[in-house]
Amino acid sequence: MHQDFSKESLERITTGGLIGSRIHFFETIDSTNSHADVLATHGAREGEVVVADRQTAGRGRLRGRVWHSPPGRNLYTSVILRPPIPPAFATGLVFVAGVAVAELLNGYCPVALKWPNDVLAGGRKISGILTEMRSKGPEVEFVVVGIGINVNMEPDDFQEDLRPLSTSLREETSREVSRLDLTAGLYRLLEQWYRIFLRDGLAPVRDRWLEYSGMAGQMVEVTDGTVRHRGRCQGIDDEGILLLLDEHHRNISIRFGDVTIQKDG
Amino acid sequence: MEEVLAPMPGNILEVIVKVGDAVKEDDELVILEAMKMENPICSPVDGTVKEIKVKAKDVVEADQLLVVIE
Repeated sequence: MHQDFSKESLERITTGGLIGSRIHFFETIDSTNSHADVLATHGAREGEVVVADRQTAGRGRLRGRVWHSPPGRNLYTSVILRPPIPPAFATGLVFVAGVAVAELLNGYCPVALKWPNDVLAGGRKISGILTEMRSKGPEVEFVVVGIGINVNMEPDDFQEDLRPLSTSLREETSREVSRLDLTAGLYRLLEQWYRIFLRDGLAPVRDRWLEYSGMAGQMVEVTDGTVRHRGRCQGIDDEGILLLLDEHHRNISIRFGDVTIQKDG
Repeated sequence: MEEVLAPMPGNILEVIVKVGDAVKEDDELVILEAMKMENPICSPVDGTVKEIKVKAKDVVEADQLLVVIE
């Protein structure tokens, strides 16, 4: 059950690429994103990654919500990027990460993307992406792309309240999945899509993202606090903004909020 | 006097400082979020927080004034 998942084994399978060019491995860490942020603040180079076997305070997207991170089961990694782009364009990296993870996991089981950064299998969450940026004036200093993937979690491993909402590759495929292979694939795909994004902008990433989302043409509801919008999804634009057409045929541009696909749509 | 502007459109997740707080360069002032990407906005200088122009959940445009440091 317990496969070799260590700095040495990770270094063996990630030779040559930009992402994973230096691996900071921890048996246990509070949060890979927090550590990557500290490393990048102190000058870590683009492509350096933090990997942990276990997180004690892995952060979910909502501040203070903890990503459940037991040892020996999952993949927790944070990647440091230093894209030469203005801060307003850096949000494209949320979609870059989503497409990379979706392509990776789709090699194991069918997955779907939900705007802007959820990765679902069978309607349940299989991966979490938390992207953070530091900018100074008009420039991005660095971006940390944190990715957690439920790999070999079994139903009993999940906290009871998360069990109906979460799944893992093992649950979906009924077999144990190599975290080493998964990590190597993740870094390769992330690098591939990152280079496409830097060279060609968000458009090709967006097109791929839409293929995986299945949202285009669906009725969706978006809630942001007390504000609620409902409309048919027309896709996303080049900045990642969600485009809806409401029942009065008005165009609505959504920058924030939680999206639900309406089953009766 | 340093005006701290939003580097991108987004919403304010959290305001970390209060008026009158002493801050150092690179201390976090405000957390901005766009497309679920968190962007801590840091002080460009050592100084004191003179004005805070936003509160949590506010929606801001690029280049909107967030905080004044003196």
